[in-house]
Amino acid sequence: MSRWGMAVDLDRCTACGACTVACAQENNVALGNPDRPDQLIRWMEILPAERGKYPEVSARLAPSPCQHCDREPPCARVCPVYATYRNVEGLIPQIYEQCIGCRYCVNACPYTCKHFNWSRPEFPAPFERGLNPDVSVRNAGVMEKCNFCYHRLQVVRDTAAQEGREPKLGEYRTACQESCPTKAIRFGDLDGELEGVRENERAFTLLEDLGLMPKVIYLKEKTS
Amino acid sequence: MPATGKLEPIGWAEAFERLADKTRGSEVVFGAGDLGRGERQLLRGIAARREAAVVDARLPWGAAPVEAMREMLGSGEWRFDLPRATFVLSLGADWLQSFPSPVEAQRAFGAMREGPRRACVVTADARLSVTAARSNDWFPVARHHLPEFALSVAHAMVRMSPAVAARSPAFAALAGETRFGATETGKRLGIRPHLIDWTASGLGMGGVVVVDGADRGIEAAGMALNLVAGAIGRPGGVVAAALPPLPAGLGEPQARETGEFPRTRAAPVVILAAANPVQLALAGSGFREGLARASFVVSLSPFLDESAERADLVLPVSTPLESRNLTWGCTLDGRGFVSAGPAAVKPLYDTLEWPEALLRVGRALSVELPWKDAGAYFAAAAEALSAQDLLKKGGFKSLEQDPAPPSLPADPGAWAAETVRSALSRPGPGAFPLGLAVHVPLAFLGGSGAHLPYLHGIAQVSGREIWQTVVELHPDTARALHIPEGAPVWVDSARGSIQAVLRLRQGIRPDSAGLALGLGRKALGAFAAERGTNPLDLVESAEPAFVRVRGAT
Amino acid sequence: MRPGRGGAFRVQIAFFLFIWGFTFVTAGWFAWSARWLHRYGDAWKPAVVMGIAVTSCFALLAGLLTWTFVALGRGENGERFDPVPDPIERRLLAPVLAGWSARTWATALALVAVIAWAGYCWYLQLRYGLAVTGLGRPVFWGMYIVDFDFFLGIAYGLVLLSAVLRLAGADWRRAGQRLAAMGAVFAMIVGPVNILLDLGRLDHLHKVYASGRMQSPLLWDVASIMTFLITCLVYLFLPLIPDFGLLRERVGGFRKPIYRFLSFGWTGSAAQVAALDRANRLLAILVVFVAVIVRSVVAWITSLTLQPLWHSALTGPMYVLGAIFLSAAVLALLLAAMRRAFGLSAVIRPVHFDKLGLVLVLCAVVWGYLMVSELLTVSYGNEPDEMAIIATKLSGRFSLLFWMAVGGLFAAPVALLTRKSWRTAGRVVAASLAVFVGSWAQLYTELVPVLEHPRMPLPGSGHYRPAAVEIATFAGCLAAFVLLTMILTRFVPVVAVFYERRGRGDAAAQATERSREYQAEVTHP
Repeated sequence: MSRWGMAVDLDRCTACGACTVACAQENNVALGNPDRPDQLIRWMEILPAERGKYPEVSARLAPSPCQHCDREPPCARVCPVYATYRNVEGLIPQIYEQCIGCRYCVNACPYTCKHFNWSRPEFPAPFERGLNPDVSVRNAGVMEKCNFCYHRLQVVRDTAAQEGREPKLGEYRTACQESCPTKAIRFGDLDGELEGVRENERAFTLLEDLGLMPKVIYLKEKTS
Repeated sequence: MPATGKLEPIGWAEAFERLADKTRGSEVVFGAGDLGRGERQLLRGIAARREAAVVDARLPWGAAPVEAMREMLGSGEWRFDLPRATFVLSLGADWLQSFPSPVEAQRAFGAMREGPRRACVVTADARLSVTAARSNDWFPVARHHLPEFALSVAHAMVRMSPAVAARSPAFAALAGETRFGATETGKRLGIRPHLIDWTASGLGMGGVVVVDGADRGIEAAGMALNLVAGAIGRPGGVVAAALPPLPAGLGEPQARETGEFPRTRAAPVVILAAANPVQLALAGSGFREGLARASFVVSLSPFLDESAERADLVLPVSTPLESRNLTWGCTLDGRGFVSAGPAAVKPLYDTLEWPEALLRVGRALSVELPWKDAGAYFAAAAEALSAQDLLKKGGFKSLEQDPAPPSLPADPGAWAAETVRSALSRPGPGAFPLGLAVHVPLAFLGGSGAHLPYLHGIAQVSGREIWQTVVELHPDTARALHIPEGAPVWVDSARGSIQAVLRLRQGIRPDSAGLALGLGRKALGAFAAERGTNPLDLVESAEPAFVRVRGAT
Repeated sequence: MRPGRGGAFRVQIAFFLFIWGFTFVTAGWFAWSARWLHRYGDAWKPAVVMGIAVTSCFALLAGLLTWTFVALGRGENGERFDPVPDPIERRLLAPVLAGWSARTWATALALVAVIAWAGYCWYLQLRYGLAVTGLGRPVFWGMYIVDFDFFLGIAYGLVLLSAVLRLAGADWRRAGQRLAAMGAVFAMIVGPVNILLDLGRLDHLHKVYASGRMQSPLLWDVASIMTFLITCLVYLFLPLIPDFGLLRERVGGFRKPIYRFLSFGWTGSAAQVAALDRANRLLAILVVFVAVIVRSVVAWITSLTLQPLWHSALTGPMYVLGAIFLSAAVLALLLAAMRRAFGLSAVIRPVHFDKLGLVLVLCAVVWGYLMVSELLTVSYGNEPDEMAIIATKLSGRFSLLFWMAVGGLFAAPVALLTRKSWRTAGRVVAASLAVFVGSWAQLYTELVPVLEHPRMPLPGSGHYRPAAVEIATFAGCLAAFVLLTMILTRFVPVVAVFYERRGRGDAAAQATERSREYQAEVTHP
């Protein structure tokens, strides 16, 4: 059984934001309301974090999707209706039709990496032509988040089944990974494509001490 | 400029008739914004045959230091060979965010971080820009101090190995003055002297200095430093571009672009090609005044931007996805390439491809170019570049050809020394105590993109604000001004005032204020219009400017 | 079965069947949930635990009701229940028997207008989504949840306070007993409305029952609200029976048969009185447990997450205490309002305010202790995440609300009510208002500052400020609470006539008895 994960090499990341835009485009993320930037939805974000005092300042700019906690995701724990859970492959899907919109999951999430559809998303012409037919447009009042482009896995499996073969290594790719110009984002099976990433000496995860074992693994900047 | 504010649809034939009518016997001025290489050549060809001026309407931040390259190296076609660089000094250039080819910049950075040979990147800038954040080190140097910083690095390099002075005697002589010693300069600029020495040794061992074309003084200092470091013509330094030969008919005759709007008395007809001077022209260029004087304004643009909204005639052009593409140029390591492809999607509206629109504009100005329409143009250009297949299927090919060996003037640094000397005598902060550090977010590169909602989320890379203009200050500066974080403030300069929201960060010099360009649009729909303010209202030119911040109550 | 009672009797039988049926359905729901959760490999034990807890609670209630009503039926002595009217009764029944004055109508209409405004705002929210609220990222919960906690605090606290006082045998509780139960029922109706307001997909609410995961504290909350609403309806209803019996005799017209039905054949016989007393006592024990647990469930919703400051074992006790505190204030306000509206100074005496004032002071002291414990524990530990939040409370964005909470919940009661001679009705009402406002402010500062400080530096995150919609719906909830109280006081006396009369008769004898016991111990060691 696969265990899908992501490795983000912060040494290569340039914070260009291509992943953010590609993700939003791929997943029909709502355009947002400029009057309410606090209600903006972006599944993939660059988290800015400045450290140190002037003039010894450094900044870490980390692309941050849903962390896909491997061990008891707090969101799945508190969801009252099975709208989010950890599936057998370690993915944490969000079932929009099941969600009641209580927002408990995001309040329980230490990464606050889920989003709520505060209003019905609108795609005025010509934006509606850019919608991805493989992904549903969410209704108002439900939570959503990064699901590692799960629809692409389905396409990969369907294609493989039609061709009577097993899905190939590296065939399942996420939109952010594909758009990354420096190849800082790698995606795959933690026991397959990404084998050994966790053991990398630069590897760390966000809020490691909470013990949630996120499957988004960061490789910290090299020092020279 | 006459502007009724109302749009009235007319047919293409009628549009070009009107254009012909209006331009008959009057002076024509072109404004050229972000055009493809071929389209730019077409425009300059038309302008040359019509003896019309072409004003470069691109934002200077993030542009290549073309002027310094021309003056010092004889041509503007040089590249910073970042993919092969081992040591990079970004001199006030936020090249990961604004660069002539942003995609190449990101890729180059990826290449620098690849494998065991890991390039060292340091950035000298007033704020911890994205490039600075991703660098190995950030040297906080105020924008107006950057030429001095470059001089002191050169000073240290000459001291370390006196032989390098021969690469540019004039510049080395200027840098050799005692006031540019590391200790003294460090004290004056508020940075640690050993950083200057360290940078000098890094550059000396084969580094490159990246500058943008925003300010002459910085540009000259940076390129002169490249000269002293021996980076010119060296792999991993500044390499000459091996451009493919121009397709026949595109080369000559050609109008030269100017930075300023011609100051004639007559009321010209202004034709804007992907140019948006209403929003993006610097006050010093006189472009806005020129527009106000114009008898007739034509805008060729895929989007109804501020200038198009006020134009007398709007000629809608297809977006790159809607039209055939054929471009050529040179990658950062100096190798030529050709890239071409068919239209990805059918045009959404009744628009023309760029070459078609330009050819028909030319015809309206009674300039006959060798091609009857865009199809003929593409066919001829593709043949000249042997890219017929590419144009049909889409793709990219590198050209295996060595760049022509550069022939440099006797002392290429003489111009730089002169320019830097005059930059040093510029007035410092006076009534406006804070150095203004303008930067161009990648999302709004070239001033476009503000109407695309997905880009707003990534515009403020180092902050949390979205859809508003933010002025960055150091917490100590804000404390002295008694303004809390998140408060609305006025930013004043000698030229004007804009409103912004205050953000405090450690990653900016206490004597500087950071502002991002791209917002403060007046057009382009709900996602752009009236969101934030335009920092260009504060500056005369791209030279380092000074501002004051006060609370807006 | 006696002739003439057939219709009412059948309805009563149906009522019992319903109660028992509901109990079995609940049990079945939990069993079914446990089964499919087990089959899905999910946590099924919570379903079993909750099923046992909730079902036994319902079973106890149903058993108690059945047993009491059978006893009431057996205890009928065939006499006509017609006690001699006395001044107390006349005073207390006057609002029920008199018609509505123009002023009452005007007040009611004003309240209806506020509720209508709130309703319109809800409509706007349903139409445009929760975007019309001030909520956003990272403050996903705001005033709705604060208001929900607030009203539930009133409900749980009122029941808890009155039940504890009953068990402690405090005579003075009698004047407030009914008001407490009434207030609890209405707060239980108004409070959960805020959850409906807060939900993104109201139309998916049934999924809580159809596919509820019992390990989610929200399901615990659903179960506890359900349990508690029914418990406190019974808690209100049982002591009403003698008064329904009385009203049956006093009113005419269409109300008479209703009161007759509700009085369950009350004749005031010794057997009936004894049965009802026993039922009330048992019920008081049950509700104390239920109220403490369900109040803690509300606290656990936040404290079971990993978020800084929320994740604290102190939240539960703090919420329970806060509920008692708030409800004492609400009770004092209700008593003062009723005394003024219906001229009940003969029944609602200075002693009631004195005692409630004492409760307020005691609560304030314990609250102060808990607050200091929390602040000390957090500050000494000095975790950056937690300290950032504490800082916004002590001196930052939330300092006004935080110090309002401290002022209202500690300074005001202590400063106004510490000495017995200070505890006049006016001062107690003033302190109660301070506690009322302070409690809301405290719940707000428990919830929102934590959400405003996520661990991650999120782009686009803003500050939360309640929008007009949220304020309007809160006003509507308050108005609904007052209006419901107003309406019910026109149908039942605000102080139990039967118990008040009996209490007055027994008081002297009981006091003598008690004092004799103390004396006996002193004189014969």
